[in-house]
Amino acid sequence: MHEKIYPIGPQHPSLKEPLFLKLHVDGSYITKAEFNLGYAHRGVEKCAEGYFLDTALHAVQRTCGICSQCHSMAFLNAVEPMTEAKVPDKVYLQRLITAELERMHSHMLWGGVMAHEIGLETLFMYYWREREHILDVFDELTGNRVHHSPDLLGTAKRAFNKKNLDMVLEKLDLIEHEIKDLKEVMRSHGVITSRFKKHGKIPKKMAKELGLVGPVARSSGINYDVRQNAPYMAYRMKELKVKPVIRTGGDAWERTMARCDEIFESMRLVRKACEMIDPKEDVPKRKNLFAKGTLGRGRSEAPRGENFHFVAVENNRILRLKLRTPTLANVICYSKIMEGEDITDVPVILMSLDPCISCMERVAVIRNGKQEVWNSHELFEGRKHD
Amino acid sequence: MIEIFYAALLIPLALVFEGVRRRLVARMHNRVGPPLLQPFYDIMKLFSKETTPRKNIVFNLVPYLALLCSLAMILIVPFSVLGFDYDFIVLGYIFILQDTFYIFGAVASRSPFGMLASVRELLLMLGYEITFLIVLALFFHSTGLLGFQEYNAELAFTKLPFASLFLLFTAFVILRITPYDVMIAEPEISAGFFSEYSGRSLALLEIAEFIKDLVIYLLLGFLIVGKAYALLLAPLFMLFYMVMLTSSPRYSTVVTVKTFLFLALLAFADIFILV
Repeated sequence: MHEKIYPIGPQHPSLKEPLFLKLHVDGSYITKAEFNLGYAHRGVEKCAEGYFLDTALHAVQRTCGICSQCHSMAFLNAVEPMTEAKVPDKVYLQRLITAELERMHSHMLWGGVMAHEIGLETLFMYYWREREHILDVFDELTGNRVHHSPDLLGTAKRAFNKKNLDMVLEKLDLIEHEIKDLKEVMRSHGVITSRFKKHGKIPKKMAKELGLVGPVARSSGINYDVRQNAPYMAYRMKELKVKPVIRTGGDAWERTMARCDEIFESMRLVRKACEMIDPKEDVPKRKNLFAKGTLGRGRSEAPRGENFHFVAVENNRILRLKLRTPTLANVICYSKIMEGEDITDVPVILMSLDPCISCMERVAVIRNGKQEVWNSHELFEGRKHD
Repeated sequence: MIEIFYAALLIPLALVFEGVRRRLVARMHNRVGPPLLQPFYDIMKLFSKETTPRKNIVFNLVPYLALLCSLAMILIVPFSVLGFDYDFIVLGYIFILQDTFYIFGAVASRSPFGMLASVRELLLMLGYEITFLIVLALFFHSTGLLGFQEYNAELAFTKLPFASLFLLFTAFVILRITPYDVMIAEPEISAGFFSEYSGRSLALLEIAEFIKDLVIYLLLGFLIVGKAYALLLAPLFMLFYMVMLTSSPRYSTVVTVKTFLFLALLAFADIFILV
């Protein structure tokens, strides 16, 4: 039959960020899917180069609007061992609370967008209303609703007091019941299940071969969570051991349920951490720390999967910073799982992977329509050697 | 004199209905919602905007034709205005004609989103337009009359329960209410038929859609309960459909098309039971 090309993006109502999906369709079934990236350029890596470690931290925290604390944790995992900073448990627990609250609000945001993709605006509004409570908590804890940057090298900007912790617990009690209801809607609504089940299937083998991370991999049956496999900061503590949500099946429905369950796991961790934290203790004053090592790498589990940071330091300044966000690991499976699906299901499949395109984008060099490969020295100098 | 006054009020009435509808949906979403007169502001703004010129005559004419169809509908439902009166068969034709104009406009625009919306609409028309015509015929058959203004059945749903049910069902597609609104599914096909329209053309199309929605709300009361209650019941029908809109996501295209083809078969069966 006559084959047509159906474009989704770079600007399209189902995409919140620029991405170009070129779908070859036969009737309304997809025979081949290609995707193209590079519509948003983020210069975080270049921006951090040449700065002191604590100054670079500010740039790193602004990589993502949703998981800014997780980026900061990955960077600190790379840098703090170099400086041999002694970080008290209270700071670690504070970081955990912010990171887990972030995971909750990220999954709620995603749940709303997922409902919007199938035309259920009401659920979208309800999810986002509950999410507002968590943003209020961020406002109370750190002073900022979105780009809350509470970290400093080896310490935190301020210590959480009793009033803060009470507010966290109060808000969690407030939203827990609502989120349970919303999850029940997602689980039991006949039309939602008919749209989600059996679409965008990622078998365990494919997930392993492509190296997928985060809830996408975990819902395909892969037991991998950085918080569990390579515990860092407060996750090392015995009481705060993470039980990752593992599901089998790997379709859009399983990913939905996995994320809904992860909200409750995060809630448990936040409650536990609030119990363990000492509200009267103060955090240490900010000190000028000097890096003794030269290379560092750090990982953290962001809401979408594993964050990886590689840092090279020279004379206490950043020489090279490399970030790998979870979307870069997951984006690779788009063209494979789209094949054979109906166009109706494309937004559902796309959103079920929870892409965060703008965090992932780094450099796009377009010259004479040819592809070029730059090595790190060329990137550092900003021009291509001939 | 009263008739001219009434006819002049019809378009503002449709816009106010849309304003109320938006407020209603907003309250169900737990939002405040736009002002009641927001549709007026929208239309006024669209008229002041630039209209992208096209060389395609069909593309340029479709908004006017669609608006004409809508006006032709509202001038007989529920009251005959300015001497307009014709058979229910003509009303059925006008409904089909308007959808056909949308499809022409979308295909002429050559937008892939418009094309896909047209394909979906064509597939669905096989199901719901046939059902709609059969149901109209059944209601008028029960009174033994053809003309629209002579229709005098009261509480027709007691005599024709299945036909009333089918009519309520087809209204989902005609009003583009979830779960059966694949032809305007925003996350998949952007704005569907209207993807390439802008400025004045878009304003005319929007007015046509608002009037058509009002006609459907009026027609439901008119046919199912009685002529006298049409205006009274229109807000209630709107409330019912808005509850459906806010409480259900949309089915995929395949399920929707299958449902409405099955509905057309049931409607045929209904004829044989009655005749």
